[in-house]
Amino acid sequence: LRFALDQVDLADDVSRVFLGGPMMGQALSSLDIPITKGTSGIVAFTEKEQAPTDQKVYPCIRCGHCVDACPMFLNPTRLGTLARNREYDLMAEEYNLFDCFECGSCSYVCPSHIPLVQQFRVSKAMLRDIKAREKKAEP
Amino acid sequence: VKTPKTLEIRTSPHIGSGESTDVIMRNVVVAALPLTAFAVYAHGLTALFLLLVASLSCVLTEHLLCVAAKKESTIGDWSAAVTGLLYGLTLPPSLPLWMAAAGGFFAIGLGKALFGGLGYNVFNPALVGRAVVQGAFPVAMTTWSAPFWSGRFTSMLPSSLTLPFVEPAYDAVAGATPLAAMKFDQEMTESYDLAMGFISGSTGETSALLILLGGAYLIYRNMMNWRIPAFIFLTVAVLTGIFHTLNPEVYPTPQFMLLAGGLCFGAVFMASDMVTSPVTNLGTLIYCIMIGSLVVIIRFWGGLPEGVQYSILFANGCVPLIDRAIQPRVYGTKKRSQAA
Repeated sequence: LRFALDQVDLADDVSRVFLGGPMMGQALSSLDIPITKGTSGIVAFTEKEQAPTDQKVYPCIRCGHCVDACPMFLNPTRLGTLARNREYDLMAEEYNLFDCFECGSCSYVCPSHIPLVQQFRVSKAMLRDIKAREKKAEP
Repeated sequence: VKTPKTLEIRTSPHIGSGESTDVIMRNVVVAALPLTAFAVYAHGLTALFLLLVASLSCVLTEHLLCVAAKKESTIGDWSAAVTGLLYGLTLPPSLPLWMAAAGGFFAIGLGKALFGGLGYNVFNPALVGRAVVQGAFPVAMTTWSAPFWSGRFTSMLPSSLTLPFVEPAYDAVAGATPLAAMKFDQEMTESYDLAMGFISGSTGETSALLILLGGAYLIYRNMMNWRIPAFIFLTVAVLTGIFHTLNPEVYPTPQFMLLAGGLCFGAVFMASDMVTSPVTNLGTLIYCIMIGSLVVIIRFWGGLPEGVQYSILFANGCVPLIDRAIQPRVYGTKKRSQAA
């Protein structure tokens, strides 16, 4: 990967590198990894190009942009409220949390900069964790 | 060998749309500026001070309540300024300034802060403020000064400067709004005057043309759901059209209903408030039909000449129910009709 970035004279001043696209790509902690058959793309941002991380999060203003954006026709605004209140079971049963494939469109369009898809990932992990514990507790 | 540089790790998505809540709010103010300018042109200093007092009272209330709650002040998100300006634009120009300030306090305090601030309010705060003022001071809220009186840029209407808790004195410049004229005197106003705004009415509701201009700007910037004003206008036009055809002597024409009173302003600036309108398109349709038909019902058969304010507040109250009942159909699942 370092070799690839060297070819475009970028290896020295990148600040964030992702495998995949800008919406769903995996962030990397090191450039010293191989490029494999599964590498669909490389996105590298310099400090100047990267999206600001310290954007102020406003309360949800229910604009509905995330509902319009969701390709699975889920209801991210409701899911977001539930995630903040830790209503994980309700999210999975009533609002089809596990149909979310984490495309990130909801976080992208949110004018209040609410990390929606990030919250959904955490919610899914929590649910899986709860399920695993329950399984373990069974005699 | 180069020294490895630290790479920052974040979760996806790694880019944003660049939209922001404070930018949206600021643009609502921008969209209302032509109207504001027209209000000041039509009513002079009276309207200028009324709008200033209304806006400042809202922003100040927001700031003070945040300080009182030991929270970070939220006036930076511009939502209080939007509320204040829109609230000011719904007031009659001759309203005493202290009443406007009191209403601004209630708009933010009762309409917004009590629910938990931006995004949590059930009712449109600007309309809550107006409803409180209308309930408390019904005479002052239904006394309309005629626009374009001479000397409006050098002096103010005497009623504006009334001291608190003193009965305001009105002089003879009062003029009836087109809706009141229709309801109580069976007089009609020309559509051209209605569209351009050469009529009596609240500071910001008179010029339908400038309201639609502001709305078009917000729609162009994708900061307003175009369906809301469109569906409300359609509902009102269709219902009025039916009644007008049945009995043209009693019921006014659709174009009169669309252009008169606060319907344009309410549909474009009030009903489209993101916080108090449904998130789904089907929900939006129900919400708009509700507002449109209530406006027609109140204007035709209600005791008040104008019903936009209460129609929108009532529909606002139904929005949590609408949003709960109507969910988008998840991709890959069956349609409701097929599932049954």
